[in-house]
Amino acid sequence: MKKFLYALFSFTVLFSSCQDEIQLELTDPVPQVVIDGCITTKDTVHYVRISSTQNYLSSEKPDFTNEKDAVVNLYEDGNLATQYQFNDSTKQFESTFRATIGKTYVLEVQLADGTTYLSEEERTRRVPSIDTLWVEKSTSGFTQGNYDIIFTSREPAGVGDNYQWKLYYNGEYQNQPFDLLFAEDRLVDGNVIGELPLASIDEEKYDELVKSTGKDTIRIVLDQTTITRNYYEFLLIVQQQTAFIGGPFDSPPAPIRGNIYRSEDFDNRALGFFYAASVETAFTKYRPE
Amino acid sequence: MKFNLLLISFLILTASATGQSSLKHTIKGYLRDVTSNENLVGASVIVSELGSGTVTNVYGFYSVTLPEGEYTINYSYVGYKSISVKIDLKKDVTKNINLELNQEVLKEVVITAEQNDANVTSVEMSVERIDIQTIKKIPQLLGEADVIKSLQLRPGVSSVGEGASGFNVRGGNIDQNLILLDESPVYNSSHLFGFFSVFNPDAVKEVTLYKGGIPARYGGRLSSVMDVRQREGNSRQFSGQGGIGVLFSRLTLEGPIIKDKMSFLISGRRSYADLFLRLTEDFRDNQAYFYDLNTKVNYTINDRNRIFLSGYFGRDIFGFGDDFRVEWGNFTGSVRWNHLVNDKLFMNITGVYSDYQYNLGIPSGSQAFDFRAKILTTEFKVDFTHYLNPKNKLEYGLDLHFFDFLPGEARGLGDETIFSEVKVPAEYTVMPAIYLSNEQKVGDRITLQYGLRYAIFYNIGPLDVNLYRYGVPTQQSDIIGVARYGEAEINAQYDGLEPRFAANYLIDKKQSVKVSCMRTRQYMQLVSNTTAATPFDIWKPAGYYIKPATADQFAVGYFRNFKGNMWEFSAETYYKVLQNVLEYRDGAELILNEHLETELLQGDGRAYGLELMLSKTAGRITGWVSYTLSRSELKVDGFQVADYYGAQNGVNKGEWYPSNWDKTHDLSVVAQYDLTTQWVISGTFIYVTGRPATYPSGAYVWDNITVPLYDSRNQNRIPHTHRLDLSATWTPVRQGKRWKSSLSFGIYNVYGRKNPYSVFFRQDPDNPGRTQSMRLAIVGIPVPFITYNFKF
Repeated sequence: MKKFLYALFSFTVLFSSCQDEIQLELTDPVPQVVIDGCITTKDTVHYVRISSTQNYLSSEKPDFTNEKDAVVNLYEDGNLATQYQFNDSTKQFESTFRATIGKTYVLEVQLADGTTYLSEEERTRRVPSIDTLWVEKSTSGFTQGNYDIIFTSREPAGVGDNYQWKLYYNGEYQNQPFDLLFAEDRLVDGNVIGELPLASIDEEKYDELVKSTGKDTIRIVLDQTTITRNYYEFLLIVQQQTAFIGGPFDSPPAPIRGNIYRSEDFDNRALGFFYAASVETAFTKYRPE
Repeated sequence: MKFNLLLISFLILTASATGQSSLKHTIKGYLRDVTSNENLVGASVIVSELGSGTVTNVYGFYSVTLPEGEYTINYSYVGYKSISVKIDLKKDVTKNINLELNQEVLKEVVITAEQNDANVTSVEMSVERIDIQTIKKIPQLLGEADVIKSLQLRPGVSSVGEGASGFNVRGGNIDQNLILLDESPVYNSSHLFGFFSVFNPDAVKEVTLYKGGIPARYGGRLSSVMDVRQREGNSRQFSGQGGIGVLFSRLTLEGPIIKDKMSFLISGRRSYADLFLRLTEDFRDNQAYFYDLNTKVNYTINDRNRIFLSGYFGRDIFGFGDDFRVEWGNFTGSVRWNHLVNDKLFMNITGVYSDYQYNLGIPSGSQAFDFRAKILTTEFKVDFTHYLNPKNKLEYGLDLHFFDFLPGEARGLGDETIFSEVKVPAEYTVMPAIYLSNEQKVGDRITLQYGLRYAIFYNIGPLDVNLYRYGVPTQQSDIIGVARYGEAEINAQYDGLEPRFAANYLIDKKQSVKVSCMRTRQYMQLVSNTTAATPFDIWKPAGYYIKPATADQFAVGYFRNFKGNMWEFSAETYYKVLQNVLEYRDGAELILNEHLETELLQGDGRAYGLELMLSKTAGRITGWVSYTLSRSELKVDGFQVADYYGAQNGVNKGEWYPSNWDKTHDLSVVAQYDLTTQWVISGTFIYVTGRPATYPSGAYVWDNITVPLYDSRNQNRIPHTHRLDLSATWTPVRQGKRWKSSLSFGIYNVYGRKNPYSVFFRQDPDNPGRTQSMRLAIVGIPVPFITYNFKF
């Protein structure tokens, strides 16, 4: 609904409101550990990235190599399942281990200085398959003229499933704040998800893709993932704080609580999140006429 | 026990005030406008020999009881010629007085006559009244005269930003204002999300805003009461007025149904930008309009009985083809019966119905759905004004409110939809209340007003209350069952006394010192997790987990008039303490939430400030300068559950933080200059400290998204706001016999300042690797306007 309110408000103040960049100086933060990682059922390389906080307006990227000597363990139902290894070229810890549906995962990160961080338990759940995935040109509404990405699926009966969808266009992961796509099943429990437009590629984005990949056909990969309620709530607030900001109907800034804590102190949190998810994948190709 | 003691002391005070007797008679009657026969509210009735008197009540009625003798009674009202009447009082008399509008205002004559001194002499303090003619001359966005935006130019009244819904009074949130339209509650006072208020200035007679010293007859909100009274309609002759503006067109028709006995008023406004949008290809299928309709009928049965029927209906409708449709609005209606029980006792019986509802949805396709929510209010009340003697005016009454909260139901539409039906259970509440207050003159210099209000609030079934593992609503996963309450079964009950006290000490005829203190209670609060309130925010009643909020306010003021009351000066300072104000958790989901209590926290507030006001009420230049220095803070602790893992730390780690509407300095200058008989020039200048904001104390990268790190809430401030608005009104000399017209034009935001609504931080959409700080200005350019007004 936020998106609609946003569109509405933009409409009403179309002719007079304006945004511009202003120069501000922000203080540097007290350094805090950031842990960002995942394990899924997908046959892929899973990652854990360790970094630190920095000034919001800093033009530098955070250093992901500072903690390259850390020990990163994954526990499955309490047993050590895999150890993520640092990859110097991607600057992240990696593992090809795959999660299994119905199991519980905990990440353990031992930093070089001896401090240990643990994630809260993440449990993988059932994931419905994607029945069909296609692209069609939108002929009306907000997305008129764009290429809508549409899929069908069936939501399993029983409230409590939470989903995230990840899109890759020609292998490029779509991960800007507005690209975060997630939902809970409360309003659609047990229903056929027929022809749900998930995202939309406008002309500008299409031209960019053609330019960056050198191909006029877009190959679209969609991951439908079942995530935990904790992760759903984390995504919700991350999007709230990075995409829907500044306007009268946006939420004021708020701290974001992750699920990683210092082993001896539950309230002492690292930033970031470790999630475990079950994944179903589909792909399609589209070339505008 | 506390209640009994207060009641006894109240009765003793009142008894001592009434325990005088000798041969006395009563002068009573109504004060009305000579042209339209409309009642004049708050007009002064002064007995010259005593130097004191009374004011007319909201129905224009007055009553004064005096010992036998000869008296000169002076009747006066702002903007009207005063009348003095000599009376040889030997028996009870009725004096209905018709006052004539002071046309000298329109001529090039500087008024030298004595002006009304009510601001110094009355016991009222912390009250703002702006007459509707002044409101119509204040330049506003797109030239639309606006009751609420005009009140925001008075000390102690502000808003979170340009175009924001509602208003904040003395550090209170917008839901702490009781907004009444002919006694019916109005839950959303804005059109177009907050750009314009729902009150049509052509239909409004009188607006009174109580920021403090709220009389005991009002209850249910912490910070203020805004009492809006609609006009009754001209009962002498058929007439009309209207206007054609950039945004709205207005038309009001009024006239007698039975001359001098029964009249009607019907007044409508509609925005019409959408009619032009339909001419364009891109917006053909879109709808974007809002309208309101005010109606009133009154019937004077005889000198002792009068009936009023009032109605208001307003809607905002936006539709974007088949993509989205949203609609919201208020419907209010009231029936009132004024009855003069005897010469000293005035009774008013009121029945009120109010329905605020909003719905939104997608009409067709796989995401087709319909969402609706509403709040219904039904109220019955009886109020008495008892004019005991010139020194005592007693007010008492009782009321019974029923509030039905339907926080939302959503259902899928059509065969293709993916959505099921979800309904958040309704909550039903009942609130009976009684009140008693007296205004007493003690000697020549002291006036007291003391009163008590007592209300009981019941949250009743049918309702299923979620039960939580630790007894407090921590999180959804801690729900261990439900407690089922049957029809009309009480699941929560709250009650409390609300003492009110005010005193005026007249230093001399020109200056006075006033004090007031009051306790107010609020049994429903608005839950909003956005910077400005939206039409879709949820009203949450006190209940099993949510306690009612209370506020205690203490205020002291100095009032002084100069040059025959032509200049008025006031300085007021206040201190307010709030308890159990509602806050939402960080990241809260509010819409269609069946366990909303887990997203809410209750905390404390404190607000204090100094308000200065200098106004010039007569002459060719009129206007005011108002300045407020204030602070408004909140403190919200989390749940205190010892063994609850991951303890909730409240907002801002449980430390005090400035509220979103905390504005240190707030200056307004409003001036109107009668240049010639044809030309009137008006201007407004405002300067306001930027509101608190939270800037990131750092950032981190998560899944390639730069996530801001926020530590403490509202520790920074956005840049300050200042703005100049100008307008001119031209009234041609040559006017028709009945048809009179004028043309107003002007510029809002003359020097085009980009006043920041917010400062926010984001990844550059064109270069996601870069972060930037942004300023949002709602009206960043000069906006011209022109309006044609007419009367017949």
